[in-house]
Amino acid sequence: MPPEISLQNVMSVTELLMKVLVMLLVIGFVIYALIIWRQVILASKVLKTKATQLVRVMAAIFVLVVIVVNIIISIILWI
Amino acid sequence: MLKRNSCVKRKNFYPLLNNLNILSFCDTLQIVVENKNYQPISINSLENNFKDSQIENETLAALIFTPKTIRFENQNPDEKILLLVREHPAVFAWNALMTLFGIFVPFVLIWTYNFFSSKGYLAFTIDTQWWVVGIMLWYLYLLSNIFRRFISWFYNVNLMTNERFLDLDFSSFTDYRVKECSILKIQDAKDMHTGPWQMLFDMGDIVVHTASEDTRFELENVPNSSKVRDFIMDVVIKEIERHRRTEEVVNAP
Repeated sequence: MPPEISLQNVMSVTELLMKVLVMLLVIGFVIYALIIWRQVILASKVLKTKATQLVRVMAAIFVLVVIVVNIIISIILWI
Repeated sequence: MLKRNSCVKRKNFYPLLNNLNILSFCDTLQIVVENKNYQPISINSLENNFKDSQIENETLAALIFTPKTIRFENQNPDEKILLLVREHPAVFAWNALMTLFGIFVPFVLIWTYNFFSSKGYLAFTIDTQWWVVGIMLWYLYLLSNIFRRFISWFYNVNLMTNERFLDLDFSSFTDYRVKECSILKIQDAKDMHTGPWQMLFDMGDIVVHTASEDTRFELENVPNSSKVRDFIMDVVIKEIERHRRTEEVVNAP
């Protein structure tokens, strides 16, 4: 027997798709932040200034912020 | 002995001699006296010329003459950085404006949604959950954008040492390029002020033409560009002159 197609079912599928899209976005953000962090590490080996250490710390904080915010977003979406 | 003393005096009166264009004569004298122990031209005179432009805090400066605390990968032991150039901080103005505008975007959206929703024009509703997620993602995007722009500005530098000219390019997303050329290969430099923005903030684009395969270096939005161009050519001319004299001494019968 085929499943019943109702407005409620369509809405829940749309919501599920939206959640999957947002999760992909979240994963993309984390990868983006990690690439930036890696680039900062590489760049700070090439150019060494007084501010290099500061920028590396900033990059690490940035990655942490991205990961924490994305975890919060995931919790909000799925719980 | 007499000649040696004259060279000692040359060091004491170096800035004065430099101003009177007697420097080249004295350098030649030193070559004659010391012959094979020839030393490279001191850059003290250049430092003196740009003393008023030197910056005490080198941490986040866009233009630094003879930086003391900056080093780069594969720098030779005797190599000294004479110039570090980044883009003028005014290039952030547009990003800052857009970010400021972006901060208020969620508020405008919420207000618009509430307005049309209260009038009954909307056939759908958006849960608070989605608003929170959307706003968080938006601010994360703004933060990423600002940070990415700062990193690009900070590491995208041009360096000039007493041996070579370097272009460290970190502007693209996943790769970086380091281009270098001996300063003996630099042929000429051109600076251009284009547009009201550059005129307003006294910045310009400098193009350094070289005889190497990668024929030119382009420095964009350089603060005080005419001074920088002048500095580059001063160093190049002095280095070429030194090289020429060294060759003359080596080839002398």
